[in-house]
Amino acid sequence: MFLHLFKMIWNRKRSNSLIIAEIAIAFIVIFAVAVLAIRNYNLYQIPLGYNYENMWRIQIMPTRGWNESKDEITLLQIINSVKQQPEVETLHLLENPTFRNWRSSSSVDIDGQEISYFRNTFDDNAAQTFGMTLNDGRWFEPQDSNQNYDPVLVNQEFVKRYFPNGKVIGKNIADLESEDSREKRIVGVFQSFRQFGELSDVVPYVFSRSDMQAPGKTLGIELKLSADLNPAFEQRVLEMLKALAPENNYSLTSWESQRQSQIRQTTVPLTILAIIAGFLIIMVAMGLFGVLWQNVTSRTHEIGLRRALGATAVGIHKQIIGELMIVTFIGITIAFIGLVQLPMLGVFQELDWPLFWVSLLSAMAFMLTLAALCGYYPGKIATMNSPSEALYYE
Amino acid sequence: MLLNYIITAWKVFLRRKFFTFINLFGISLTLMVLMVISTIGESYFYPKGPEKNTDNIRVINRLVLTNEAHNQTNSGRLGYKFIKENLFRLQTPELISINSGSYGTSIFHQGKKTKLLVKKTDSNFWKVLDFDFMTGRAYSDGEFNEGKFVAVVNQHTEQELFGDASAVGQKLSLGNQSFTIIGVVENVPIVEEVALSDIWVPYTTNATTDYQQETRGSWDAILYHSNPAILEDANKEYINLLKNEVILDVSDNMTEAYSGAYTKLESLSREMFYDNYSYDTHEELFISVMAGLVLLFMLLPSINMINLNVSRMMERSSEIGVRKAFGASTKQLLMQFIIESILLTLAGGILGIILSLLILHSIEASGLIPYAHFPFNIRVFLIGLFLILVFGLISGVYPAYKMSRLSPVTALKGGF
Repeated sequence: MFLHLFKMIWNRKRSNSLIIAEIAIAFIVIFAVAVLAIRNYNLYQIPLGYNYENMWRIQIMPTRGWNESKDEITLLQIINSVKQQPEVETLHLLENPTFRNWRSSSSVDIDGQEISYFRNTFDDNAAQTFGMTLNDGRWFEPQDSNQNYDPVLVNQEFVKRYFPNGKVIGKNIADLESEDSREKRIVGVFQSFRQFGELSDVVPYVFSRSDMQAPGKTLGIELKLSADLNPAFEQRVLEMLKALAPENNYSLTSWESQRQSQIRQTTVPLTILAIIAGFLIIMVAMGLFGVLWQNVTSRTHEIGLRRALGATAVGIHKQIIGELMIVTFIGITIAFIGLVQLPMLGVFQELDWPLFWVSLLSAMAFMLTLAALCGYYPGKIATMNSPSEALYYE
Repeated sequence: MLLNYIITAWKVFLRRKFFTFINLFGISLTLMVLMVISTIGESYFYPKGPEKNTDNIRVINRLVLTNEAHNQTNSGRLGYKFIKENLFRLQTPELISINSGSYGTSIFHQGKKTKLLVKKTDSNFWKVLDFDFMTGRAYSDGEFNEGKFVAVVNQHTEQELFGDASAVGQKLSLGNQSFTIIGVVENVPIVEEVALSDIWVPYTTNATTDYQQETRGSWDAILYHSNPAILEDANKEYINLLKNEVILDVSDNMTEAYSGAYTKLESLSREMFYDNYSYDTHEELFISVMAGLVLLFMLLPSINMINLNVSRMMERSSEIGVRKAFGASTKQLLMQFIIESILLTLAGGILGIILSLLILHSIEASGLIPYAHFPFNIRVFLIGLFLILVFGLISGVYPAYKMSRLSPVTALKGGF
């Protein structure tokens, strides 16, 4: 049966080749949309690892370079005066803000293994306030100051990628051979801290400790507020800061609003792309429909002959849709040969095999359904040809 | 003759309304997307706001500092010190204006909070860019040099802070400083990032002069010359200066500097294909990639239309047969079918242009792109017309060729 249908398609290969090309390109478009949608949906499902409710960030924006001796004192003054505000429940230091793409990364060679990770610093109790989960070891503690090592916390992804046996507590992740480098000792493992938001990849992440008494260069102060923020408080804080250190600019933003604007940054372009892809697909669907309709009309003789020789209406309907399915399948196969190169050559790091297969299968299901829908009505018209009318022409 | 073709085409379109609809739908949507993209692109490359004299300005907003081995690299915007020691030595430009880049700030006015952008500039800023003042004026060289607390705001700021009252003469407090508003300008579209801000004040009003010590910072510089051709030499002079006699901080260990005074096209292509250790901005690459993307996007609708046209030809095979039998030449038939397909694309194209105007209008109204303004303009219209013709030819030539070569015998019989 299939071989027979295939033979018929082959006989009409010239008119079918353009349809196949169209289906192949349309399939690539659908595949791309599927990849983006499935990838972002999967990422969105992974827990953030922290809470953003009632969290606010004061960002300090210096207009000149950091002056070690002078600016640390100013920063301490800022911390103390903000802390005294009645609305402020707790106050913490966090170097790189959440829901932004400000990133610091490092990579070191430990025992012949290249370890690269994103890093951030926070103070002793920040993890508890942010609502992070500890999987192993401990959080930072006051006795971590004045040690001959720097304590660090790593996330579960870090452990999974670089220490698959799971034993990481007490391990060092600093390159001790380079000059003036101190040991970085892992003291704890936390579940995750997806700094770059819900639509970002899960990456190895490392926290170093910053000391509230000696903050060094930290330009971000995180506040947990007891209630919603009102403009009066915001104005009071910003004016107070400007009076304390006029050489800097300051901003006060909630994690929540930053989160929304970050999600929007990803979803708005994706939505526009999806709408354009949607238009293309509708166009293709209508095109297929029209071509098939025309096809069926011009094959009246052939179909009439088949009816006269005893083919049933259902049989004819099946034949038309079956032919279309095979054409679609050939188009998909051609597209597949091209697409499979992407994960094989590793063109896009984010496109791994599981994502590839899931997207491919969903795109295939979509394309075949679409083709079947487009073929349904023309197929029906074909069955309505009465044999006598069709044969009249002969 | 032409009239005959048009009448035949019209009859054919009416006979197969569904096909005509599919064709129109495809053409108009494709063109709509292309027109919307080219209008937005046009508003970037040919600004209508303060950067309307875009040919007379070039912008320096990127500086890469590195050492000889390229293993220690800093890239970002310029610092005041770098500008003072290097840029101000340039001879070619008639005017050089510098500004601190814009930053967001919260302004509290009568218990209400408004988020606005502030840009700190010199007085040349108002000479190199072509702002349209609604009321008031810009700050003068004198006011700038004395560090007078004066500000220019845009219409949006005036509306947000003072409602319908005029902003000129009002006080505006930024941080702990109070500025007197002396001028109101039209809103600057977001694509004109050199001019973009809500509030402009002289940078001489800064509380401290610490900013003068920085090699890297957040500053932008604008080079101006009334003759665009000479302005190109300014870029050459700048690159030459960077290569041969750049003055950098010794303490930084940085020895090489990469930057350039860019036109709009150059800054965009530089952002896309940035290459830290080169003065090249890769515009050719940028243009070919863009053209490739447009072609790729047009591919699917074109194939779709070819398919439709080819299959429509089957239905008309008897007509072709009759015409051939009565002596119509291949060339005549070819002409007829191409004209038919161009007519169809033309109709779809006009529909597409109308749709794109609607979409652009709704983008303006929705505020998706702040301060966007996309008036109808002849350049985009010509681009659209050109695209329509290309589209009509692409999708019409192959089917027409195939149709015109049918042998009259098979065509009359109704086969193919």
